[in-house]
Amino acid sequence: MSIYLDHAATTPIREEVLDAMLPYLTEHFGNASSPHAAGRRARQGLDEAREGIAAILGAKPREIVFTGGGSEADNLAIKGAAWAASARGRHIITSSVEHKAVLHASAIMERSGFAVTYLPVDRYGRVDPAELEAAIGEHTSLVSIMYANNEVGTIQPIAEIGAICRRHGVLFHTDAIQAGGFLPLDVDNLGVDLLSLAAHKLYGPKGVGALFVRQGTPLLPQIQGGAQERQRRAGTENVAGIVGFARALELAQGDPAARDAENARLAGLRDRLLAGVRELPGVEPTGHPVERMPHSASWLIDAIEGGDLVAALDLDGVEGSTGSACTSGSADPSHVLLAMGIPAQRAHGALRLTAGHGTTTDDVDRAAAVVRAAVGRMRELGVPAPNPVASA
Amino acid sequence: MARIVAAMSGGVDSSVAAALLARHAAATGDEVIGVWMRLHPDGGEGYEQSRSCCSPDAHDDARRVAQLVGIPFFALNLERSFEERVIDAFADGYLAGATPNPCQACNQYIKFDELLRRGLAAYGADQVATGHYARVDERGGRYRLLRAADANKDQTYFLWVLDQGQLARTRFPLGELTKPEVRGIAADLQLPTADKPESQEICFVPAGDYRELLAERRGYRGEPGPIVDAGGERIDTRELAKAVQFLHEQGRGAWTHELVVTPVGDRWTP
Repeated sequence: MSIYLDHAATTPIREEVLDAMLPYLTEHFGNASSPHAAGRRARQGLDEAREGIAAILGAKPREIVFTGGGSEADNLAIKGAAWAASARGRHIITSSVEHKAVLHASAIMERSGFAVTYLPVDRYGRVDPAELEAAIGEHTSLVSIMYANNEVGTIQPIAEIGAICRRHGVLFHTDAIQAGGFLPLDVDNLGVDLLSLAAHKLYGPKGVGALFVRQGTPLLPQIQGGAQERQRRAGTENVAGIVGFARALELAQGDPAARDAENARLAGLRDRLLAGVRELPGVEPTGHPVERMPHSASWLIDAIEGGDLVAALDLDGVEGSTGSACTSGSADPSHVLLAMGIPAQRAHGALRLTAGHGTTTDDVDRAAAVVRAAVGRMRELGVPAPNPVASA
Repeated sequence: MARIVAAMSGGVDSSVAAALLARHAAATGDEVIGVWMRLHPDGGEGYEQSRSCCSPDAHDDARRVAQLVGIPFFALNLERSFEERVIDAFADGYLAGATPNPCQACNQYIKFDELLRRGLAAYGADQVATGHYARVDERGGRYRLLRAADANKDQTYFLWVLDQGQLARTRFPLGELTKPEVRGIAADLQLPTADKPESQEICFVPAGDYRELLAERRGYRGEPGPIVDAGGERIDTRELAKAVQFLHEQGRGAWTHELVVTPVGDRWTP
């Protein structure tokens, strides 16, 4: 049985979540827009789910727009808000370490004549709020900064950035897809106008996401065809998925004390993993040492090609990642690591292991041992790696 | 017990090679690991229809075959080495007046070198198997590369350069089979690659026009080189044309000059 340490890529559906979903895949199969009993039953599930998610975000139910996943939520936020607010200006500010969903959506806006500023980050992957404030100009209409980074786990100072955006009257979006199961999501405390979530990162189903859209925020829908989601996202609602999403978020965040306790447990596992891998020479943790996701450990490993190491770990029963499942198979090193000032050669040696509910102390101890053995073997056999061995 | 990397291009030959290995491994306790190599970036527009092993279709097909025969599957990016050892060497070879053999270079440096070494280090695999039509045998510790049973498909020409160490760790599961038999096995196993057409073009020149590649990479503009005689003296090409015409009309090969063709700007010296 493999040790799964890739919870930042995706998580298994919790049993309680599956139980909540199943009736909506079978007996409550109705279309939530239908004016009959089957439709009404489905609509009730949808309404309850929307209320549940809104409550955790400190939002109104009408401010939640369900989407077909996190990337769609990011695209709707960037394109929808930038177009709708284009009367104010056509300047977007984001960071150089965002997920590709935000970066590629921003690039599309550039092709449509918008100016986009990609803020640099420090060596830990953090945006400097003062630098962000300095970048805001008369034509800036939207700022998009992720809550927590998917590759190195660094948490951004979202509330501080939110206050700056508010002061300048600029819309603020945060991609909270990685943070969703772990960090406080109160949209007023965060000072956000738009916030993206995905269910499958927090033990919910794949193919379901949500965008919080603060009341009064202009938004141009990106999918046309029906009046669903108050005209903001056409398409028959994925009721079972949405019900599962709401249950998953409630389990993750409904009891803040329980959430914090689980975060503390995960942070213990993470630090144990970091220490275990640290025994190897030529290894350096990436991301912020303190402001980081509780479950995420990541490293640069000298003289190792990250993709080869992930394959080696897989064959030895440990499932990890180089940093992002969405860009695996690419020859290019991670844009996140490059933005953090890591030379391209070293960035090839990236490894990320992310713990979850099912992860035990024994799991991380065994995983650290497997990493040490695999790295030792690969270095000894002299795999042609593009990054040099540490001289130390 | 052996761990074998099966190089899978997404074509019918390597698909059947992987399938045969997987079947054999189930009996012997060996382990087979399917690896698809990305060797060069896919060329965008129109490339998907290409028969090349680096198109998204080829990746999909290789993955599906691995699923069907029940082996783990990894995509390995070898673009940097392939560019340096195969594509650039191909371009430089042409411009130096040679006739490069890129498939041989790929076997020598990529499949039976980097793949073998990375397979050993990362996957703990000690052998590499490919869908080549060739055979290897061992006699008293010496490995010999032998022609395939199917003389029509024999590929030893692309493999002659493999050394003893490489041959010792190489498996050619198709060596005793004919192409029609391989297609038959693929059809029996209902592999999605069973009816795939043959690819015989240079994989990184999908349109078949290598001059375009030379132009792109080396600024080659199609200039003809000088023609010189054995003493290094440049021959007037109009005179040469007349001589060739004369010989043609005579219908015999009585040459008065030994002709040596040299690269652009270079001179042959005895």
